[in-house]
Amino acid sequence: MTHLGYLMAGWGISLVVLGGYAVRLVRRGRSLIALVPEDRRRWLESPGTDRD
Amino acid sequence: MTDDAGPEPPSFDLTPRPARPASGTRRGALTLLLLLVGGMVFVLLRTLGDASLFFYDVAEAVELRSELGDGRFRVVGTPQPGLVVTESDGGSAVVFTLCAGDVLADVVHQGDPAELFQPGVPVVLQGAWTAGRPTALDGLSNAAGDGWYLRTDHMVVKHDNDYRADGAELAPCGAAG
Amino acid sequence: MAGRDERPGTTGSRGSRLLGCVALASLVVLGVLAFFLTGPDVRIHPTTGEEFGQFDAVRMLYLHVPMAVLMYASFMLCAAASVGVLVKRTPWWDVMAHSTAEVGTVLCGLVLVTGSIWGRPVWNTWWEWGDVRLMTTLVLFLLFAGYLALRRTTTDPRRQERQAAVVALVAVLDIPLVNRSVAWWENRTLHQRSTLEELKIEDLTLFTLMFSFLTFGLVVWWLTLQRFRVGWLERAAIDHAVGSAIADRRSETSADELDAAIGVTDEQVGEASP
Repeated sequence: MTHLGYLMAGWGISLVVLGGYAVRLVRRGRSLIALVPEDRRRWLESPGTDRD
Repeated sequence: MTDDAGPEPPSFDLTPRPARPASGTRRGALTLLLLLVGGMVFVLLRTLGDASLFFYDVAEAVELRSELGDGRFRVVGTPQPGLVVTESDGGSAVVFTLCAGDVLADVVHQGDPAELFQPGVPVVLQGAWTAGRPTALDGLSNAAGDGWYLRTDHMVVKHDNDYRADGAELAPCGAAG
Repeated sequence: MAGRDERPGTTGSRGSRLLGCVALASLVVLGVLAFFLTGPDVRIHPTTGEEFGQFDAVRMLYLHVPMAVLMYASFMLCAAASVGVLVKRTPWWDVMAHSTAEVGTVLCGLVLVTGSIWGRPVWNTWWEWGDVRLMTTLVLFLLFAGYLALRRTTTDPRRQERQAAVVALVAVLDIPLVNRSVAWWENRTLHQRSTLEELKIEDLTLFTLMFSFLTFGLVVWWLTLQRFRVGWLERAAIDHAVGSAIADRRSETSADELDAAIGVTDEQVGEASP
């Protein structure tokens, strides 16, 4: 296969960045969950949608 | 309510205070914002300034030859079949003819050509017009041979968007896709 | 967007977990299609008979093009949500605008990087300053990076929302310039014309390109969903923290101390009592 190094770099960087971003989102969500009471975790049911 | 009755009240500050991000975070964000604005200004200057990428096609470059003089410019065209690899100024050079439609221009490109450089695949070259006739042109079957050639040192390939195996639409001197 | 059967301690729902699994499975299938089942771009020149094309570098097509299109989609969604912020003024629109802007910026960064990596073997250059397609894309990235930075500089959340919405609506004006640059300024860019408009692709290459849109579409959908939930939780956490702090402050302070703090005397309290 020609240009294998470029292909590995392009696909590798993209998958690592997207995967890292996904992991960061999941971990951030988990840490936030602990700060929010259970009845306010489901965003559809959260109060404050009519703030203004 | 009286001002002079009883002891001094304890100092409770119940005034609502605005929530604000940590000052370090704010400073960092402001610095980042300034860097981004600086980056935008840099990009705009590079884009609008002399470094702006612009290329003539071969016909324009031939037509404007006297105007362009010995100044450097970029030109796009399709290399014709038949290349000569030679020595020039102590380094390797590729000699070929560039075409756009029925207009031809001879090229002496200093240094290694692009990896995917092929006859029929449009390239953008950077260099200047030079008077003369390199002897290597004798090896080309379709040289322009008009007493001028393009002496170039920067080559990029301008690929088309055709991924079909037959390549039926590719004309020998077609414009870049 | 949210399911109602979240496991305690996660932002996932049955739907989003299924979406994530399907996206991952699609990525595996796309890898097989892109690297093993499709062939390299090798064409025979009609007059010289020589081989030419992008050879195996063409496999970047299945990565770069869908990410670019989904980047446009994310930023357009951000612009639509920003209109919602200015008109409706509800948190939902702001969280949506913030989420799509962040996901779009990640994609835009990757589009620039993968474009550069693809450009090296195919164009013979990592980057060309002054190339109108590259420059307008870089400006788009800087604009939305600025949008994200701006959101961290303002202290007033309502002001922050409105300022960010205006910036997003200005930034999104760059998208037509990015997209049309290859047609409007053909002699100012190395970038090829739109692959999708002219579709000079056939058979398995075309199928794989379409499949890559589906795959990265699922990935971006999942990321946006998760980012939205994180954004919503951030707001809920702040609201909850503020509510708890007020309740704590109240519980720490007795009625007598409160009266004293505001200068009310025992006599006045007695007079006021029935």
